[in-house]
Amino acid sequence: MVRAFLRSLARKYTKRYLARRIANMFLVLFVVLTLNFVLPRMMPGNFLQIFVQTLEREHPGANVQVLSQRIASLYGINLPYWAQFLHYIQQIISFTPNFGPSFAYYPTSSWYIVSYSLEWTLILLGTSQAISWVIGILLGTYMAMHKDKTVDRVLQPGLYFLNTIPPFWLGLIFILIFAIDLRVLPASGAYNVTPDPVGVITHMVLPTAVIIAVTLPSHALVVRGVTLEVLSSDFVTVSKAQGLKWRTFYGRVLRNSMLPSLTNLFLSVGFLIGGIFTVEYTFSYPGMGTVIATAVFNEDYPVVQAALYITTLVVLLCNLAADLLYPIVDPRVSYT
Amino acid sequence: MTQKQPSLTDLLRRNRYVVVGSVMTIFFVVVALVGLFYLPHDPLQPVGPDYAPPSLKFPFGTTFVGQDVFSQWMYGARSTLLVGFLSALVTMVIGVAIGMVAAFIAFTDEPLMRFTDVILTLPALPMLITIAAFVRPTIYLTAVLIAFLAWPAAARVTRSDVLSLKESPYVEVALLSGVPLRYIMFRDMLRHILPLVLALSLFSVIGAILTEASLDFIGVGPSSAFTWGAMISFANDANSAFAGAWWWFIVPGLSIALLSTGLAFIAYGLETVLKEA
Repeated sequence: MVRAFLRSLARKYTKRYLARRIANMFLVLFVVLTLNFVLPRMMPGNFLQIFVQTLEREHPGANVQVLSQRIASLYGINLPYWAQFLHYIQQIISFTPNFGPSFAYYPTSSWYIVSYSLEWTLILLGTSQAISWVIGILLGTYMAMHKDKTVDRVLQPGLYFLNTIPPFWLGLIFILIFAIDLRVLPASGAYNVTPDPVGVITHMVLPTAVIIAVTLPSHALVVRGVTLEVLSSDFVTVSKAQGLKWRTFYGRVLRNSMLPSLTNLFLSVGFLIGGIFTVEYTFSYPGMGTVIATAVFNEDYPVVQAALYITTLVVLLCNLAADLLYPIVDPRVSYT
Repeated sequence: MTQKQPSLTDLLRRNRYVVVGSVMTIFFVVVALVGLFYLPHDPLQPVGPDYAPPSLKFPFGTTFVGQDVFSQWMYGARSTLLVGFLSALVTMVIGVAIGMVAAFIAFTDEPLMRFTDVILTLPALPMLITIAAFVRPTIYLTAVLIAFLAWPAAARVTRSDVLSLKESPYVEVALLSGVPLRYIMFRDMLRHILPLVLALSLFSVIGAILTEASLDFIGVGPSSAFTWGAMISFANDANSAFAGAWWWFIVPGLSIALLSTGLAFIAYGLETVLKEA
């Protein structure tokens, strides 16, 4: 009886938890969409006029009458605000979300530009985080096992320092050393003339190295903390008493400290992604960061908005992944 | 009672992280303060040859139009520190207020914490870039906008801390003996969570400085305020790396990193001391 009660309680709790997480996702999306809706309307003057002027400047000789009509119908400009908002939401949730044409690359849709650049960002994000996470785990476990020894004492402040370096500044330094002084690696772009594998990889080395360097500290320090907790738990004491081989022992500790840091990896994407954007811009890598910076420079507002939307989607998916990983990490949590 | 318990200030003074961190931070604060009264050259006017490497006259060299990088660096310290500390102040006020209300007034707890989760999930820098692209904020507005997206951590920590403190016997005794709740809240609670809030606020300073620098770099920051981030951004726009003018961007970037490291050291030392005390 008691057990059945407890099980039902656990079930209720986890269902509530899941419902809460999904509600959270929708609220976040709602906030971002509302912001995207409100921002143009907060600009001084009529944003329709500003948009048309920008388009005219970027594309001299375009038919202004047709342009302004097109934009007015896209934003439902003559409707009351609530109807404009509904119209806007409808445009966004249609199959290829419609943020309007890019001003700088008219008439290409801004969604197309942003989703193309997302591939490059994801390649950079995935590669750098996979490497950074593995190094972080090894380093963090090593530091925890040698707590308060010289290695730990030197590495800890070193990691704090590395953690506070502006990523784009480190990128400039790397360009200076490896691309200009030593001339061993390319300084900008993602491939030579055509995207051949060798060119893609050599272009990836520097940006990836910068991102690894600036994200490594947080992974290593998180793993260090988790490992210290694991090391003080009972099973470690027992394992030590058993007189296990060092490698077996290391493996057991590693397994227990690895999974919590994996959820942390997915949760930290929201913080990481901004830094990755600035690194991309430093190396003129054709990812989202460069697209956003170029769009800001050209006052290409639809592209900026589409970029924020797609970034939010990526962050939300990563958070969802972290939530789904939780029961694997901690068998005490279940979503049944 | 043979040995006197060491006081908090003694513990802090003995902690190497706190000492080193304070020295690093104070150095940059002094640079900013001196910059208020004395600058070797006008930071915005051309005063020397273009791209002069570091020399006795120009310790950090000159920019592509001959501005003195050393004066710019001194001048940039004030706005960099302003963004950091103003933003941290606003972050802490919002975070502590929301955390305390959520912990004390039961029916507000659930909605406030859900709201905190939403803000926590938002990708802060991309949001700020988008907002800044449309409204082009001043340096003050930038600091406040950064704070508006940075407070959830403070709110969460404050809430959990106050909740555990509320359960502690001495608060119960105080309540039973008729001390009004708001008195406990603002006198005792605030004093108890103050060290923790201080450590957190130092991390917010770091975050705000880095965020503002990133905004400048992307091209939407208040670059006319000439923070160190804006200096790096100008150096990058002028392609100074390709011109070999490393002195232009090395110093501001290193200053951001060293100032932040100093603040992180203090915060870390504060945390360890509090854990031990």
